[in-house]
Amino acid sequence: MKATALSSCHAISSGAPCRVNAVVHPPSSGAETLLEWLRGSAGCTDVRQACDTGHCGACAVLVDGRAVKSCSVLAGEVEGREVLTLAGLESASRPAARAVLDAVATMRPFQCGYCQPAFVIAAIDLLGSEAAPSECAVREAFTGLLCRCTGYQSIVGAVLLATRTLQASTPGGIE
Amino acid sequence: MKVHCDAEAATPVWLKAAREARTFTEDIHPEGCLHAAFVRSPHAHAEIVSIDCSTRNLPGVVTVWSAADLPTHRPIPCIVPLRNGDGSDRADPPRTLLAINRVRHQGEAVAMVVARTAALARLAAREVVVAYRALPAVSDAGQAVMAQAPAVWDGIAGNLCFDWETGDEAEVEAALAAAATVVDIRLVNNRVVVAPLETRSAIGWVHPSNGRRVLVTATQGVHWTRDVIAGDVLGWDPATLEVVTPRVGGSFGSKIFVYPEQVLVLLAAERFSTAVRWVGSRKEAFLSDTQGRDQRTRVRLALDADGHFLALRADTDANLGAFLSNYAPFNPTTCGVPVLAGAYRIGCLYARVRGVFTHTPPVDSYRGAGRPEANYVLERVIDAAALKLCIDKAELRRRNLVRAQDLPYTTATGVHLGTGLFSDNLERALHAIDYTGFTERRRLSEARHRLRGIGLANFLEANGGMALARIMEPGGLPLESARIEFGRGGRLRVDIGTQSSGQGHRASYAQVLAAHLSWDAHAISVHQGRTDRLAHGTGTGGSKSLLSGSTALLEAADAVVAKARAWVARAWGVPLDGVVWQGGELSAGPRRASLQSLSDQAAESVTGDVPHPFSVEICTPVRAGTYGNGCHACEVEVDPRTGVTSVIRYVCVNDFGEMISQHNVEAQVRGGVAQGIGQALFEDCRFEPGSGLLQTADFGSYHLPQATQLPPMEVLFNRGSRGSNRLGIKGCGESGASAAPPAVINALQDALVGVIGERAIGIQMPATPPTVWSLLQSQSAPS
Amino acid sequence: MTGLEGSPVLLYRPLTLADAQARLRDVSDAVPLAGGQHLVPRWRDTAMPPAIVSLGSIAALRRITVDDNGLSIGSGTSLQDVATSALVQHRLPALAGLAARMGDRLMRNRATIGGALCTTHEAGCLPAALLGTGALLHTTAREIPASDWFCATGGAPSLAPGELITRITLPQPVAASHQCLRLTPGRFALVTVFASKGTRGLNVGVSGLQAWPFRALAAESWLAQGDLGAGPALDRVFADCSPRSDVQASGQYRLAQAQALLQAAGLALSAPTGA
Repeated sequence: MKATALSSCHAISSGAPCRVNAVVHPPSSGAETLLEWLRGSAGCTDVRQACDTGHCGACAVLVDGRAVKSCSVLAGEVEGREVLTLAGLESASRPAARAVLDAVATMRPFQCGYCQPAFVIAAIDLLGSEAAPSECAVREAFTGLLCRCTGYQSIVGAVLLATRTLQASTPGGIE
Repeated sequence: MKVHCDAEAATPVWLKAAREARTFTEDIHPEGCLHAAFVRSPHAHAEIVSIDCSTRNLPGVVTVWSAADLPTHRPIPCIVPLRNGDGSDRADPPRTLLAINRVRHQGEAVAMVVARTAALARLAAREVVVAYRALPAVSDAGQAVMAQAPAVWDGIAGNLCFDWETGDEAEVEAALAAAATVVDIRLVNNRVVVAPLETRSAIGWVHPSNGRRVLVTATQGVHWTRDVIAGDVLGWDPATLEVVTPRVGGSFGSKIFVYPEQVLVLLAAERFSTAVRWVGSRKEAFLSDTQGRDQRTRVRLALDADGHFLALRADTDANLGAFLSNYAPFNPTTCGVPVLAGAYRIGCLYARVRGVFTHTPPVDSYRGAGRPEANYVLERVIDAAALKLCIDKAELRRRNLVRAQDLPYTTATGVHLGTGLFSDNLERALHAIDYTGFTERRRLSEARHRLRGIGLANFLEANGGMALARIMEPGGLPLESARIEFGRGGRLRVDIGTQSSGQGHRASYAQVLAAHLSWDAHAISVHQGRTDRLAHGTGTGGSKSLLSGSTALLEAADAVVAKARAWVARAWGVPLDGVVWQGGELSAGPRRASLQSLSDQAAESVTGDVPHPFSVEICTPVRAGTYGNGCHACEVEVDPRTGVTSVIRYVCVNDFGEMISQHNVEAQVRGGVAQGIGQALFEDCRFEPGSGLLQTADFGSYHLPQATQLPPMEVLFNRGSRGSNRLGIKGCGESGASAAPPAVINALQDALVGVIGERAIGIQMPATPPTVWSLLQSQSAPS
Repeated sequence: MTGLEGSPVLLYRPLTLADAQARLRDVSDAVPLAGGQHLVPRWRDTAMPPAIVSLGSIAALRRITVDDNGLSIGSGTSLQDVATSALVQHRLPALAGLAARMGDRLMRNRATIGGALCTTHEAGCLPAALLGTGALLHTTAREIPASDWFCATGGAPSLAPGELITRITLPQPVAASHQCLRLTPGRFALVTVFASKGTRGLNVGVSGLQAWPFRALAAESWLAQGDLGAGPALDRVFADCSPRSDVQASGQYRLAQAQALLQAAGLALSAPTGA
């Protein structure tokens, strides 16, 4: 059963656009993963692919505020949703994102930088649900995310700095 | 060799982006490019019966190439000569681009598909039908040398590539025979999958109007990659090939080497007059990247009644994989063995290394390139000796380390140590980890049903590229190049021949140059990875980039000052030797001006394409290496019920001389230690016996350490000893990978001793929970 | 993409279960997709199915309720929602804790309890929990006891074409304990023991020890006799099993761990506050 890609999309789904980093994109017209679509049609080279089995976390993005592995989500599943990659967070004003990005700029915890988007996304996801995570909780939150360069301590340190900044600046809590 | 810029011919946008090195290779998409994918052997050893390339007729598929379709070329060379103990040369089997008649490891490339999209290329590669006749395979070096083992290469008996030795065997044997105590143990240095997060990729292209070839690919030095591919493999004038390395996502040695895919995309680009792009998958990385380590050693240490090291003998089988990668014979021999004596006083030393072929991916330099393997042997036999002689392991080291009064000292491997804070490092590490308080901590762990152990490991690094240069040419010295170009508005541009993959070189170089020229560091941009901008470069490896890079950069800076002085002499009409350079200024008598203002004036004095009068490009030898050294200490806790081993404390004291960026040095130490802990406890690379297939071929089964598994590390620096170079620096990047495995395993041995006594010496890497648990069960088994 | 470039894959995102079933019935070769954490990377590696029916928009599959039969969890509930549900935390905290540690947080945001039972059913903590509570899987056609779901032949569980799991009910235990050994963060536990005691007696589910998860009747008898020490009786509990041996661990190791985890579960069950 074949139809042209675009018409089959309209027939099946809501056709609702997807916003990537606040920019509206027409939905994916093929069967690709969110990762492939983001790196391809949406031009987001800050979403990375470091494996092909869903084990490294390098492809992490935020979908409606929740961190997911874009390699394990179909592109068509984010119709009508908001996708944020690292680039989108850099221009966002959310306090948790700001705090993490500032801490990263200050402490320069990354080396080759390949895993940087993933860890930043995961950190923001963590701070979205936990206001003052312990070091242990931060390391736990990085389960499933691989870094080969740093040994993680510097990245954990930057997240803890972000946490302290947030605590200091928002008396009522974060986000 | 002339370097020319294609000012006339238009440079495509994607190539400009690649040259600016802001993105990774896989982020670069030449418009209209073709895509390559590879058909890879599912067998570790097989005869190729037939290859059906009819897939090339599918719509969208441009071609399918097997070895028969390739133009004349030579194999990818192994550049390291090596003499066997009997005077003969090592074996030199060919490293082909695509398999010819036989495949020798799982994942070896058999055919290349070129298609209009990457997805199509991948799909079409799956459709290529290759008929194989599977053959028995061997993956273990110890088994490969046995008489009945399947041969990887016809005509190479016993799968032996080389049988090399160094030292006086008779002298060492005599010392072993006469010694009060000989400690004799066998050690495994397990194979490691290097696994930088960025996989390998390559883009080949040929300029339509001038035929200039371009290769965009991650390397650890574009010039060497260019010379090997153009000069050695394809027979091209290297001046016709531009190699560009953009941003690199980690390498740890594996991207130094020339791989078939890089050559093949170039050949395809030539053939089809369009860019050809390949991005390697993680599975391809597991099966075709060079891997690390994989050595088996029997080590014997002779001691006198007071625990002094009289002699050391190490017999090693080094697994090289199926093919000789570019440096492979170098790592276990002339790179690693020099640090086999560490900074200890050992009477004499003999080492024998057999290089063995197996049906596995090629093994080559991985963070430390043979030196971690040597250090592991040394530091583990010392702890074994401490146990057997009932001498405290810190004391045994103290007794044998080169002391201040011994300097200068030449070790049993011929390493000349002029400075070094070896004993002091040890004392500081013991203090930092509170060595004397350990007994109490052990008691507390016992109360929680945990076995606790403490371990030490010193390390001695030997960095500078000296060993590699000497093996390539007697008396040879490593070189490095730097170019300083003056731009408008006080901007300096540096092009340098090293290649960062995350080490942070560029900031350090800017800092060095800024200090030397009294320039604003923010106005200095540093660039690497460009053969079109720099005539020569030696690349990164062996922890030498700051040394060789700063050597070249400072000589270039001196050349800048010399040019500036000459320019001032002419411009001001004063004698040259009256022109003084100091504090960023040039002066002659009362007249003075800053280098910056002079450079602006000099810029105005030339027009068109004439280079700025102060711009320089130099290539210079590096005359002396460095010997970073230090002591690592570590505590582990073992749950005897599960065998799970946790590193709970880790400290290290390091003598790296002066440091340009302590931040960058710390980062390298932490990264190296993380990889060392990974190898020691978590990374289990397994080949199936008989089939040779890789059983751990993805991150779900090969476990890189994660954040909850690595301890915070205390990184301390012991200053007061300078490296013998202008900046007083010492190489540091690989040291963590040398020191951490023995520190961790020594701690683990210490934890297990209380339960199983000397059997604890038998603990091998990777000490996974089932491995530790099994060893603990042996307590009740008859020995 | 399946076949040659240009032929699309049809992705349906129905809002109701009835719509989903209709698509699965009417569109040839259509397959269901829940969280996709297992299937999507696998499809990308091999071939995309020609038609996919995503269950992710069906709100009815994401409800968690309590009734006389116990806890009812919609098959489309994400693991994260299972972990953070106040109902689950109150009624079956061992399950909430288990869900909170499955995989990693990114995976838990997408993976569903139903999807996990369909794709990764040979290992991990969840099968042990369902066996260890005597859970019931409800499909659009019938009810399947957990012990029938995890059958000895392994392989893909047998649902009829178009049949979907709608919810899982877990009887309310008096106490429950989840014990597992996870050697690598974010990956499956090597061995899991989930034990519960309730009005219907003891249930012990074990996964990772053998090729398939199973309800360990001998372990239930052993727990019932009350002596939780090591000894011949404990050795006999798994004597009829065929412990799995692979690159991760030997069968011997797995067996020893299963025994130790069973002891720990027993201790937890007999503790005054239960688990």
